[in-house]
Amino acid sequence: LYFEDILEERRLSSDLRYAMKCYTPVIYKGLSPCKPNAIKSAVLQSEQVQYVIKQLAKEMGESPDIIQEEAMEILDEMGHSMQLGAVRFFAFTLSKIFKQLFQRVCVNEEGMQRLQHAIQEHPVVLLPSHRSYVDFLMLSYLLYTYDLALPVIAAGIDFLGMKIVGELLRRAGAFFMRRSFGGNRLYWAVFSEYVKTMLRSGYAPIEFFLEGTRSRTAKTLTPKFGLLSIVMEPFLKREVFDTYLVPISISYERILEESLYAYELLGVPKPKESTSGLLKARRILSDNFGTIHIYVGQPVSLRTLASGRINRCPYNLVPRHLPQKPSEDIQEFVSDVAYKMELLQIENMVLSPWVLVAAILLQNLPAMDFELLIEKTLWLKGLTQTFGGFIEWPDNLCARKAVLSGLTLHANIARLVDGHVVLNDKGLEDGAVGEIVFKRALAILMCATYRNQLLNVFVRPSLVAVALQMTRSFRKEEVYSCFSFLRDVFSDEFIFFPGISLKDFEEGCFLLTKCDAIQTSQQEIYPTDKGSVIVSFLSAMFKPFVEGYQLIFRYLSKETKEAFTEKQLIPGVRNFVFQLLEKGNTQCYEALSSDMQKNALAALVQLGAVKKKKIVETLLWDPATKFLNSLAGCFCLPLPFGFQSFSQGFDKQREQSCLFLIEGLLCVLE
Amino acid sequence: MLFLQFLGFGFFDFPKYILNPNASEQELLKWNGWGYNDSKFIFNKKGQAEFTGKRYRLGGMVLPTFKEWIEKTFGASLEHKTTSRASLNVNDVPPSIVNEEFLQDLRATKISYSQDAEDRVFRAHGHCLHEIFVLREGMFKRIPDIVVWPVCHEDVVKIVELACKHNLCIIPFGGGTSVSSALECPEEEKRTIVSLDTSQMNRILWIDEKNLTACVEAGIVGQDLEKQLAESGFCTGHEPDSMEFSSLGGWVATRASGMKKNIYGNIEDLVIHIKMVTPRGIVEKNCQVPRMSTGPDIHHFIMGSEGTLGVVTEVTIKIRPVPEYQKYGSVVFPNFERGVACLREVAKQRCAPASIRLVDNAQFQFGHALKPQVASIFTSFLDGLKKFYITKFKGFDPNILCVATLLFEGDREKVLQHEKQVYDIATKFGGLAAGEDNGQRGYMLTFVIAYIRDLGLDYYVIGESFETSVPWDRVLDLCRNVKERIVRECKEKGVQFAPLSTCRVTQTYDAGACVYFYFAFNYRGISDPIHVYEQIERAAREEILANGGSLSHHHGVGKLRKRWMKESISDVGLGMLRSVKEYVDPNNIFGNKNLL
Repeated sequence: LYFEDILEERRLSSDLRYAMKCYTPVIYKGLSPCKPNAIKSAVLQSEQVQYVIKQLAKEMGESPDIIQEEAMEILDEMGHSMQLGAVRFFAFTLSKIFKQLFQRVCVNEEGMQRLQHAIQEHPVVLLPSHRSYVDFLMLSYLLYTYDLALPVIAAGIDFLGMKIVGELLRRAGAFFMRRSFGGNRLYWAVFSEYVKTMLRSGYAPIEFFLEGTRSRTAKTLTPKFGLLSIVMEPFLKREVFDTYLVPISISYERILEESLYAYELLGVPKPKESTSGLLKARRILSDNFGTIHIYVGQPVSLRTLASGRINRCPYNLVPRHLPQKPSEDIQEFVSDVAYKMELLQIENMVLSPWVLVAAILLQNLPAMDFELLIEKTLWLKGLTQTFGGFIEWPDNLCARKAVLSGLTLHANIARLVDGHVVLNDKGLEDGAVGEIVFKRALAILMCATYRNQLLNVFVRPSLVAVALQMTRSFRKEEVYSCFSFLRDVFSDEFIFFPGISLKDFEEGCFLLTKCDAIQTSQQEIYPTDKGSVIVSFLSAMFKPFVEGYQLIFRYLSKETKEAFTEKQLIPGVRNFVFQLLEKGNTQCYEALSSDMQKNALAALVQLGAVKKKKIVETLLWDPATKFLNSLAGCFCLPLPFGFQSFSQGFDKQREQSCLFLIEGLLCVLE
Repeated sequence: MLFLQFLGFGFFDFPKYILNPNASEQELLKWNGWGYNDSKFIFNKKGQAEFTGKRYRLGGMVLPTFKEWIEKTFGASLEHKTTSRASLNVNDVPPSIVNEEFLQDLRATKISYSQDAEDRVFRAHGHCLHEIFVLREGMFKRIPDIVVWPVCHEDVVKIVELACKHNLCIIPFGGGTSVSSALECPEEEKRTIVSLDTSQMNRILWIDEKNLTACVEAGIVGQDLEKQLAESGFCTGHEPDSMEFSSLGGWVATRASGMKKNIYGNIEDLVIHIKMVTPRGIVEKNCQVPRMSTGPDIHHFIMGSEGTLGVVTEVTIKIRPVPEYQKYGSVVFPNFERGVACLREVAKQRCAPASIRLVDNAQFQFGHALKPQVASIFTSFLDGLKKFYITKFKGFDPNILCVATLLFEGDREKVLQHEKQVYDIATKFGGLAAGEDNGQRGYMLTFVIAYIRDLGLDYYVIGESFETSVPWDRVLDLCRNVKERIVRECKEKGVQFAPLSTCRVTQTYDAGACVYFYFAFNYRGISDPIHVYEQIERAAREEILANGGSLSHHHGVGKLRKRWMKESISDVGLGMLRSVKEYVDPNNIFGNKNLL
């Protein structure tokens, strides 16, 4: 596998010349070129949008012209106005910035070649992972370098709050979507038609983040389906012959926002996107952020995914321009595709040696012998590769150097003191207990961000390992039932393809067998003698999650009595855990992470232990206002703790075993 | 229902027909290919393509660019030839098994019959590619055991009674032009299979000039019907592309559609009364009226029943005075999209001429390759000038433009008026009038294409056509996707050379259009071409259905498309049809296994 460093060329030749180079990109074969404004007017005139305008006019007793005006405003707010000038500006400035920040930006060459073919053949949707703001223009930069059609990029409307920068992004091909517009039919119609028009005509590759937002934990977030279902629709309605979905994995040796994320997870709010904030952030330019790896995956044909899946075309009996709620089949299909794409992102994600170091370090706090760390890192490298992890480890690089270079790059997280590696504990001694806990939590969460990159590769075998330890049984059936429960509980924490619990279990067992950690027979699973090291390492790796969830469950069952909102829950849990940490009653710093708290709550809702209720007080007309945005769901918790199932189809027996296991979880803790 | 759409009267020179009243139709026709023995494409000594015979306008003409087109389109070479068996090998033919008691009863009726191998093989197939392939290189596993020739309705009644008495299977046979495997005998049929050939029931029983109807025996072949009606100054105007060979009864049994349906209507619009013999008895109405409200129309159980319920024996059909004037025309459009938009507008304004078709670029080039050698330098100069005008002056890309062909019919003044109206609309969509000749040649392609297939078969090229109907808003998507699907499937299945994959919008309606596809490829290097071909055809049909197209517009279902019937008409719909079959023919005497 060959990665090319695109910065190498930049360091050798003029950035200005690069920015001004003759750019004649490879484009879609069926493209009839048009200007951004032509797209907007096509959208406005489209049957789809006109239909909704007429409908709304009739319902509201308004003149269609007024609503048309509104649609025009939406389009102006949303639409990109891609200009080569802006692209060249970014080509120049990003070259300068990237060279400052990163040692290398590496791309898999063959991926770019595949992409080049794909772009010519069918409309293309680029689906990168999202770990940093850097992702944002990275692909545009890359495609510009390789002379491919530049993508249009779905961006959150928040970016428009940034003076100048917002408009610059717009000119570089960003289009802006409001965060939530579920109820606004006009907005939905205009937005989806805008995206579909660009896709159908092959105007440009469409880029968006399946995860919806930057993952603060470097774990892949569960996918959002809205935009994906929009870009899938033209194929499902057979308006295009096929659509390529291209999973792209962007991994950072050191994430630009690492400390911001840690603060955010601990409840210090994220700074609003602002130009002044961006300027303030320029001091990071003096820092080193290592290497970026971009793996452009094999383009996946939507037609191939759909073949045999969607039999009778559900769109045949209704005119295609009418807004139509997708059938359950289609929704399920969209969700499967989303998970599949994320799993491909995970599979292709390049892991740096530091990721291994972080995983080991977190199991050996507060300090670890350097030599042992090296030895363990090498061991974990082998294990990761057995599990299909994709480690970028230069052939000739010895483990010592790899670990050392990781420590140098991440000096803010850990350092070498007297032959021992310790977390960065600057100022830990002086200060109140609370401050010490907070600082420690910061360091641990930052470190966890790197370990987390391993988790999705490890999750199947590890949950088998955890299940083995929890059940203390060798009976396959029991282990599986525990595995399956854990998989449900962690369904928002890690990425599992929906509905294939057994397959995941088998894969986990297979991988454990492959590394000689367990042996299986028809009925039984048991760890081998040498396997116990692996099994305990794996379960220790996921221990923060098991313990974290236990703490959150305990808080829910003991500390809350009434219904609560998410806004109340998060600080509640945080304080609860904080106090335990201060008293030394737990070591689970990761339970402070708001990400974990939200995921746990989502899992409980899904399991039927917590019921989600939406309380609408007033009927709002303009859902565009922030007000609707903040109209949070209200959760109410049945007594004592979730021991009542609300979901209709919830299997009784399954429920029993769940309850048993939840109790089990709680007991283990106490 | 035909493979080939054939063209209008303009291409027939009726006086030149040599019909020997003593020779049966069968002897005039190819046993292993399409149409007349004397009409076929050949490569002459100079290596140029030529169409033989005197039946068609193209007869005896040299087609200078055709060879090059074949080579370029299919990567075929004249050096690589396959040859069909010269004649039927009687020893290969499955034996005729007929019980003696039935034969005795049959003889008593004085109805002619035959157990001759050639007669039976001739009626064991239609004109699907795989059927022709079997004729050229193999043998059918099951064929009729006996052929009977009733000459009137009463004969049919007797035959059906005998079949019920002896528990035989009857398969009605009209013109034999089916392209849905409808005539293939079910392999597992253990009973004696009787092929009931309606060709001797071919009289016009009466003509009613006051009501403009004619009662005709169902075995009459299209061209004979029109010829005989013409003697009294009438026509039906029903011209499916197969009308040289297909029969009135066959049209009814498949729900046929004619090229000029815009004026005369499809078969369901033309039929006033049907008489059908079923195992349960005779089904017919009590009057011959333009419309009646007496529950669901029983004609609609019959039309499209594909020989599963009984034998249509007599049909009363609408007739019209022969039109005074006919005129072809054509319009060039810069691209297919504009052309479809124009046809849609024409349909919207309900001013479609007798026929209006839009061929895509590939089919336009196909038609162009069939251009005969031009006689004079002047004509060739004019052609050059026209080409220059369209491509250089008007900026049409010769590899993108497409052509609509038109046929107007009626009294002269009205035709000219109508013509102007249509051309005016075309202009709005960027169309340029391109002359009568181009129009005529377009229609020619549709009737010679089946002959071309036989030529292709000699050079490792196999092909077929298929059709569908689709709402207007999906026409473009369907055309593009189906053609693309064919190209992709060919590639995936190891076809070495890109296939010919082309379509035309061949009929317009208020709410949609009928689209016709041609698909052919060079199969050198493929061990089982028919299997590959069938897989690709199936994929193309799946694609049509996924794009909101119908299972069939006029070819019918037969056995070829049965697998999609449930999806097409729902479980309950299928059950409704089944229960009719069960009542009418509980012992499955009409056991060709079509449709259901």
